[in-house]
Amino acid sequence: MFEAEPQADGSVRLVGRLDAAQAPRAQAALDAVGGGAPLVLDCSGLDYIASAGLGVLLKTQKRLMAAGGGLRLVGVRSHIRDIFVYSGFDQLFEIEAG
Amino acid sequence: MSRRSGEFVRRLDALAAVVAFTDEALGDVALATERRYIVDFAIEEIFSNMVKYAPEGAPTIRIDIESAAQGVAVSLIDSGVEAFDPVNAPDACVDLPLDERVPGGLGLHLVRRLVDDLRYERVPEQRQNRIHFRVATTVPGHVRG
Repeated sequence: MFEAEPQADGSVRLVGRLDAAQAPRAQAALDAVGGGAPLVLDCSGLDYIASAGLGVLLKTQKRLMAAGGGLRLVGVRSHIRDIFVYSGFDQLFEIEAG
Repeated sequence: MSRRSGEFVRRLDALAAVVAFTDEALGDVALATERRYIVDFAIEEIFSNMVKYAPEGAPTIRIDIESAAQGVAVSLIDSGVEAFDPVNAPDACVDLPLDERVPGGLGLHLVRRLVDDLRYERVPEQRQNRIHFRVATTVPGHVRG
């Protein structure tokens, strides 16, 4: 199960398992968000992310940064934060632990 | 110790069945969240790689999981395909700035750093790749650089 749920405050909450099968859905949800302002991704409900999900975040970050915004990843659980660090994402994203 | 084998269709939407199989195979093994994540991550990345890069292969991919108190041993077996050695595949460049990073290439890079004892075996007669790895129950405390 995976969901990308837009919140009333403009953030997006990721829930469940972001695997290779779900990556197109995640990409479509994030592509629908306009650039120009920082986008908060609430990862507190994200149990799992595969490399395909990392690719979704990277592609979105490049798009939003080019438009003057960017992603802020909040509520990141420790095992997922480890993957971000090993991927060099801690140098590319603003990441806040859960 | 217990051992389970499963056959999964060569499609990414088989991943849900792979996860259910892994849940069942791990049974009572006490794996911390981060160790279980490594098992799931490595299986998915190797399986996905087989699906994406060898569409000509056999209709199904076999996964064997052997669990014991000290850890988990996993094998993914892909038949009717070209040789591909994930142990010696090139690393991704993870220290590039954002504008030079491109999506993709991280999966096997991370698998090589996360699992214990990643091994590749080629069986030419069956045009078969066998990829094996282990994940210990206890945390080694570091990732291979």
